[in-house]
Amino acid sequence: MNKDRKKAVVIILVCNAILISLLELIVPIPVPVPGVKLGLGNIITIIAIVFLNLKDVLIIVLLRCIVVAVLSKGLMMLLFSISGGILSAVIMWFLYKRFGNVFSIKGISIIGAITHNTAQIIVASVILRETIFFYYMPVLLIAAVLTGLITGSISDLTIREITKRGIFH
Amino acid sequence: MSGFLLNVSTKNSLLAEIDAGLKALLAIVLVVAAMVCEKQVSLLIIFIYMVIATVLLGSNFRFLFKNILSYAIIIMFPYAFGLLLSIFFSIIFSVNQSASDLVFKDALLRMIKIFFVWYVGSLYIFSTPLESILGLLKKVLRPLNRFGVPIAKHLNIIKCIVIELNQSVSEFKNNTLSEARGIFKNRNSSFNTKIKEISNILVCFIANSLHKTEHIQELVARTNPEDLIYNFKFSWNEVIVSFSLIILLAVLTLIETIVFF
Repeated sequence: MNKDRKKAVVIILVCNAILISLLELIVPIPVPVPGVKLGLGNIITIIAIVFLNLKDVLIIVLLRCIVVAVLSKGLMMLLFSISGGILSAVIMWFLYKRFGNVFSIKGISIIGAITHNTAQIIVASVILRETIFFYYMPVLLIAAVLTGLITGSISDLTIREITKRGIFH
Repeated sequence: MSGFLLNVSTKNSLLAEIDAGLKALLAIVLVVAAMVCEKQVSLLIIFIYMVIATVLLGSNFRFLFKNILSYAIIIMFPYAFGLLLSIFFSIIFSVNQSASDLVFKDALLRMIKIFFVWYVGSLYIFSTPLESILGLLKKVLRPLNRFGVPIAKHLNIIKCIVIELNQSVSEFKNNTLSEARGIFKNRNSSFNTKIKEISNILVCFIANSLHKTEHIQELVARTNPEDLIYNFKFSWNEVIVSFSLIILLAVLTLIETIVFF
């Protein structure tokens, strides 16, 4: 893949991640908890982890966070989404590349969701200088397992189909 | 966010016309003032100033409530949950309550301040056209070019993403989103079947979108990074904004230094 085409693929994947997150209006969360989202945009991160290198994955996550912050949530939200997004992407990439034979895509997605929520709690605690947020951790962990399982299942099926069709080749 | 994507380029208001650089300075001063001020009256005045700015934005109060709601969900709800649990534990284990009351008051003040930072950031982004923000960033981050970071090119990619999103959001809503809605309306199929059908839709969507690489390459080539220009302008609007900022700072300094408040 040449440099210009790769840049175009990155732009398309960032757009896809933002558009796919619109599906969250439709796909129900099994347990509705305040502050918990399905994180369908993560499907694109997992696809990027499987088919692209770490640098491109991080660029996709970073650009997605910046564009979403610019378009809707504001600057402060950027801190939460970047910390959670980057940390979970790095850990998911490491697990997939080093322990891909141990962890399934669903497992990696669950760990990614747990990492994402943990990073956000840490950021909230650092900003407000309060450890009290960690009481909310068990709720977020349970939610992360469920949402990670759903996004992992969709990612798994999508990756199989992409591989079968040879889309990235 | 979908509604916002459709209206992303329609920021026509009094605040949108004000120079992006001056507005950024105003936002930074407001954030610093909110963090430094200790008296409740000062925070109230900053809040009133922000409400006036919201009105001048040409937006209704829905924007303010939307921000309060998202802040409440992300920050205040987990905090309240943790606070209730800690009070519950302290009652069970008979810990002295006065200490936690003190911490709560401090945390509440900090939470209000963080909300101001949150809101000022949202207001700035909401009221400033994307081109102006990118142009300003290109100018401010120019020193990074010396370290080999092609800032203009990165900002150009962000611009391309927003252009592409604007073009494809209605297509996505009409096709993929309505198909997905149809799947989840069907009550006869199981959750697993629905997930499989959703992934089929996503595969088609991703596969089709990747056929657009040539179109995106053309878009990137067409969008010149040199077009991101920021020029400082100073008209009557800027004079009024600068004057209001000076008055605000004077009032806040007065309140913070007078013992009466």
